[in-house]
Amino acid sequence: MPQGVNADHRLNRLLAALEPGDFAPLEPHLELVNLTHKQVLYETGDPVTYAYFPHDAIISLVNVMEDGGTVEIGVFGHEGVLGLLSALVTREAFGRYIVQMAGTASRIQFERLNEVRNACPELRQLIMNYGEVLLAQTFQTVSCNAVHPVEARCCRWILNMHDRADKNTLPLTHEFLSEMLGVQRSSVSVVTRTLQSAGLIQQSRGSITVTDRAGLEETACECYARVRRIYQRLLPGTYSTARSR
Amino acid sequence: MARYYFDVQDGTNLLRDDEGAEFDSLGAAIRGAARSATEIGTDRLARGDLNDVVIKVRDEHDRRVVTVTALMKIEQNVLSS
Repeated sequence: MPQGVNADHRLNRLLAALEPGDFAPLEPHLELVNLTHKQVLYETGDPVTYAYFPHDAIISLVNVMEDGGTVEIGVFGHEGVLGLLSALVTREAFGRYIVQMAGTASRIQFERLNEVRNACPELRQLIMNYGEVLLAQTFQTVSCNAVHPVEARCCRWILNMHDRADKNTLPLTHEFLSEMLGVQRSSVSVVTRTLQSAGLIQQSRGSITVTDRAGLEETACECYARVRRIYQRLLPGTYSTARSR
Repeated sequence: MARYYFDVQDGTNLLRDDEGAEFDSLGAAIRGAARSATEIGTDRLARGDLNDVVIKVRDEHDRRVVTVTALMKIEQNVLSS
């Protein structure tokens, strides 16, 4: 165990959802790691050697376009696992995996996880359920990015992060939000000022604090709630929203 | 590379940009400001908000170097009953 890491593998809700007998064969292969803010786990095309089960860390999968522009295409927190389903065959990272909130995670070598999965039907089923949720989340995000206003998408994004964080104050700059949403920084500034005027968030330098979660949910598009319902249906207990904690 | 600041005038409010961002050229900054004006304007015009979106671009010496405006206008030509 690395120095300073004091966490339990089962802080990850997927791992926690396994019965003790199904978790036992995984445990010897799991390694606790600290992930720092803005740390890049994989760049586009990098060989994916480990799958990560985040605890309080949050990791974004970001697509880097040819002109250098970026847009977030996936997000992973304590409800999920990254580096597994999107690299099953090529074992190459589709985009950049970047830590957007520092914290801990449990990681396991891709081959070890595959071996245990092949021998454990319950783990295989859990990962299949998560796979369908992840694909559904991606499909919904594609639709959302195509047709919904920046303001609604911004609310969806803040809610997604709030669900995965253990606090109300999120370390977010306008620049970072603009890179995640694939829009210009000024557009984010205008939107976040509107949200602050409405009392939904409080901004300070380098961070955004959620002050009215229900209001954010009302201002977000249908996409946030739809994905949350799919999580709750396929992975009951692993996706608790910030409101219910 | 040079740093440019995008102040957004929307209606009577001016949202001042104190952080700025790096651009390869003034042309790149203008394209960024134009994209931003259209992003902000698209959602607003659809909601019937007719305040023009004006982005005033300043350089590192606090000089206004360019102003990009998305004009918001809905003109009804036939009266509907």
